[in-house]
Amino acid sequence: MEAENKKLDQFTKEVIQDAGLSSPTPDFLTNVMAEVSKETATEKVYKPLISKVGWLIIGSLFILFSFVLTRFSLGLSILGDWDLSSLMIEKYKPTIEIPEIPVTYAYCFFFLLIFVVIQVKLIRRQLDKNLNNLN
Amino acid sequence: MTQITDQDYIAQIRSGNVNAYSALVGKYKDMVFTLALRMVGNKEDAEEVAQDTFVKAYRKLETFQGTSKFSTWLYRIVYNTSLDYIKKRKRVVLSEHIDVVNEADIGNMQNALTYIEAQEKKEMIEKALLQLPEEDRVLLTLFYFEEMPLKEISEIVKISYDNVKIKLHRSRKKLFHILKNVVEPIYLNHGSRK
Repeated sequence: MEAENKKLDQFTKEVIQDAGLSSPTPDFLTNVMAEVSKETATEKVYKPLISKVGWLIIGSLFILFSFVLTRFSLGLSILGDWDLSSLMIEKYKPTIEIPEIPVTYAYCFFFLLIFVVIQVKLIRRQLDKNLNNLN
Repeated sequence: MTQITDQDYIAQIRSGNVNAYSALVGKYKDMVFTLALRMVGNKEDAEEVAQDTFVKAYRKLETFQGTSKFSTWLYRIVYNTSLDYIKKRKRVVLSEHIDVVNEADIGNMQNALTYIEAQEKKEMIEKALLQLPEEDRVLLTLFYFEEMPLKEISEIVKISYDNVKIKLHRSRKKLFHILKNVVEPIYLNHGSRK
């Protein structure tokens, strides 16, 4: 029984080795790589410039500053006590009455400006990176 | 010159070199295609399954942890993809009845096969293999051609080590009987012509 099993084992091995391997069509590799390249192209998932955590920090800072500025504002401007009225030329004095801009609003606008500048920088960096990847 | 391992290619692919994948496809395409062919039974479908396997493997490459060999991992994908394909087509292969095999029979078969031309022999064996259930064909190929250890085969086909052993024992008997039915008439014909 043992000898018979051994012989059958050897026979099967010879048969399977004789059958060998089959090959796919010659353009198989090209087809697979074309599919894989498609996968890579569709793989690009949207990645926000500013992550969720980043937005959370920015939001928190914004709320904090708004709160601090409105709550503890002493009515001081960025220019401090400088009197710039002497620079005004009487001739060019605007005829339209410009409403006074609240200090808090000015600060908010200032910070918004900073955010926009940062965003532009980040967008430029991201675009450069994408262009480099394409090349 | 140091040989580049599968793991090296995988590292290259992970770092963004997609072309490194072609080396892996080139290395394993014949084995993957053969396994697919032995599962699905015809070249057109096997090509589709093999292509699907490589695309799936590429997609899942990030999840490959390297605890098993890349080939084992890849063969498991081709096996599962083929099974899904067969399920879709609902093709069932009837199992061959197993008779007793004796030593003299095996000797006669070995003699008979020597009279058959290599290409004809290959086709005959392929046809005989196709009469076996899909799982048996894969077990025989992995064990006798790829010479994979039983443990790795059990990982691919997801059956226990002992079960692989039993199934292999049965499938080689089944293959023998199928071949006997095909080869014996040719051998007898050859003998009568002599």
